Amino acid sequence: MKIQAKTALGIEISTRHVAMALVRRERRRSVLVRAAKVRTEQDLIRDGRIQDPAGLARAVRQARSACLGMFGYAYAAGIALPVGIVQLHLLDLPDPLPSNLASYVRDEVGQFSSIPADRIVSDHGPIGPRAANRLLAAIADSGPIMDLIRPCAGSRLVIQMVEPGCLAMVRALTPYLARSQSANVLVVSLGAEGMGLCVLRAGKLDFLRSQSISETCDDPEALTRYVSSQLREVIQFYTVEAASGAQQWRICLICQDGLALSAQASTVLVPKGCRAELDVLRPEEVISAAVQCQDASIAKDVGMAAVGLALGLLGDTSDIPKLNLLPPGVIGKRRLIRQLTITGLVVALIILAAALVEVGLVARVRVVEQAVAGRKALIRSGQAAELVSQQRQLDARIEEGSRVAQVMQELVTRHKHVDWSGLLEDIRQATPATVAISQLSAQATDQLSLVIDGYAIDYPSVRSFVDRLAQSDHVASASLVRSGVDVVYGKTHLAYQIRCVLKAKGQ
Amino acid sequence: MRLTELANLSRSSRQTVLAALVVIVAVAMYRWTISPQLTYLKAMQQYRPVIENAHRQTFTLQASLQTRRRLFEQLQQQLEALSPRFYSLNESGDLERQIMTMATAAGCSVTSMAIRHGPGPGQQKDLDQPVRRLDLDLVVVATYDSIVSLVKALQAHERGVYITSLSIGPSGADGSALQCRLAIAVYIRQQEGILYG
Repeated sequence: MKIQAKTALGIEISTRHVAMALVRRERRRSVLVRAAKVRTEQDLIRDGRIQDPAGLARAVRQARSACLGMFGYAYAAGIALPVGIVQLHLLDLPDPLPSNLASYVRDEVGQFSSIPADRIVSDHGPIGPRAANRLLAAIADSGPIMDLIRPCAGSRLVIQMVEPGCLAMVRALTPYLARSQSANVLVVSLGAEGMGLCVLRAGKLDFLRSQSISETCDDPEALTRYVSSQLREVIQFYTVEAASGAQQWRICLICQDGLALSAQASTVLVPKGCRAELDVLRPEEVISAAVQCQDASIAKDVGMAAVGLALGLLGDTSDIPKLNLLPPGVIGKRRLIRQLTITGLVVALIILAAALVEVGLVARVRVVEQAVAGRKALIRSGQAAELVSQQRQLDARIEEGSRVAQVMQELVTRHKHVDWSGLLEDIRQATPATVAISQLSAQATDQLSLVIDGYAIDYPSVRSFVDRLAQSDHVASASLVRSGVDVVYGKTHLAYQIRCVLKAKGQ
Repeated sequence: MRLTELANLSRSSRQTVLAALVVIVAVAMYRWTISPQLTYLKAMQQYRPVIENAHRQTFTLQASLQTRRRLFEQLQQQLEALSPRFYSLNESGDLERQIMTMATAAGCSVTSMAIRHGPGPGQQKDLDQPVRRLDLDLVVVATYDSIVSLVKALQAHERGVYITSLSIGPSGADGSALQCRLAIAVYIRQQEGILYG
């Protein structure tokens, strides 16, 4: 999608001046914001060549400064080519139409030109009521065009359109002519750079010719004669060739750059036998019809071609064809620069995105690193292995200790403790005076037993002894297992044996 | 490639060259800036669960070790409570003298003392047993009161001295003195280092 500029700068470069017009589009009208015309002492262009590039650059700079100021910028700018640089041709197209029209036009108009093939710049557009069959073709040498573009580029002006000056001028003239209802209008514009002749029929451009008048421009009489002859030729052509030649003609004459015709011009210019009326137009009249001037004084010193070109850049809707002779190299280079700029932007975006992603990743890595570092700070190297080793050692010691403790506890509890001293005291206390103990044997192994052997005077004493033993706290039971008479040392005694079951401590 | 050569290229070729440039820059930026960070981040993200698992394991191990230490302390206390009842290996060499001293102090005259090194508590000849049993046969001649005193002294000894059998009979023909035959068992700790270290 092409964005239409709202402000356009038309540049008209002529032999002796550089004119600029800054036009802004405001809703349905165009406003001439500023205009400037810088005249030069020397000829800038002669024989289709730039004579004074430095002077041209200076003039462009001055005009630009006057129009845009030091830091102003025009989004669209175009150059109206002077007569000497561009050649215009009217072509009748064959039927059927050639498949590659551009190539056909280029070849056709190239035949009439001495421009080297690699430097030809051409463009074409439909012209006349039967636009399908007639073309207006323009051809120019890219060298002089580049010589014109270069100082503009040096003044920070991006040239988007290079158009024949006479075509731009006709575009500026169209709104003025649209006011009248004349069928055939013949426009003659005279300027320092040359003469432009065009025929508009029913408001549409039908004929266009531009010619140099450098030889006659200084002599009003000669210029009048020359213009008269040219007018006669055109009207005669339309009277003879065209079917509608008998209609009324309106001849519009515009003189610029101080050119003057002879005093009898009003009678001389109208061909005899032709119904025509001559209308001498002032440039500011035409400009005022084409654009609205913010300041009336601006319109006095403005190039018509510059205004027409600016209108063309702003998307003029008239039927005047738009021819652009911008060299393909410039277009290609500009397109390349645009693509490189876009590529650079994309690359910059990629780098920026990568940098942002990297920053994000670094931040994320920092978070994870901090989390890991926090955990690592709590773990020494080899701590787990050391802990496992300690655990194993401790397990082994616990196992061994448990085994020892179990054995020791078992030993302590297995032994049936007998209060031996208490038992002996009880036996002493329980022994009657009539009883003697000869042998006392006690076991505290699997069974707690006590066996007492002795002698007694009589049986009741033995029984009393047994009973007393049975009452002891250390004896569970006592029984007399054997008794009998025995003689000891010549005396008769009662031999006995008492068997006791002992009590363990705590039973 | 110079700028003019690039400008002379066809539209598609130029777009291809510029697209290739963009792709190269994109790939280079990815390889130089994003990819290393991404790889490092992935590695860190994989490392994080490992280190957290290690931390968790260490924490679990520490808790387990703490439990075991408490258990070991309890065991130490239990062993310390039990150990006074047992002779140490150093004390066992002095056992005869101690018995002799106790008998003399009780007024008993020792006529015979024999030590038998018995098997372990499980009645097996196992040198790895933590406790070894030592049997002592003691024969004294004394009065009944002295024997009672000796028995009392033996039972009151801080170490575990277990009288397994006791036999009292006349010592001589006059019957003024008594002969007491005592079978005593004591236990000796074979391993000292269990409680400490």
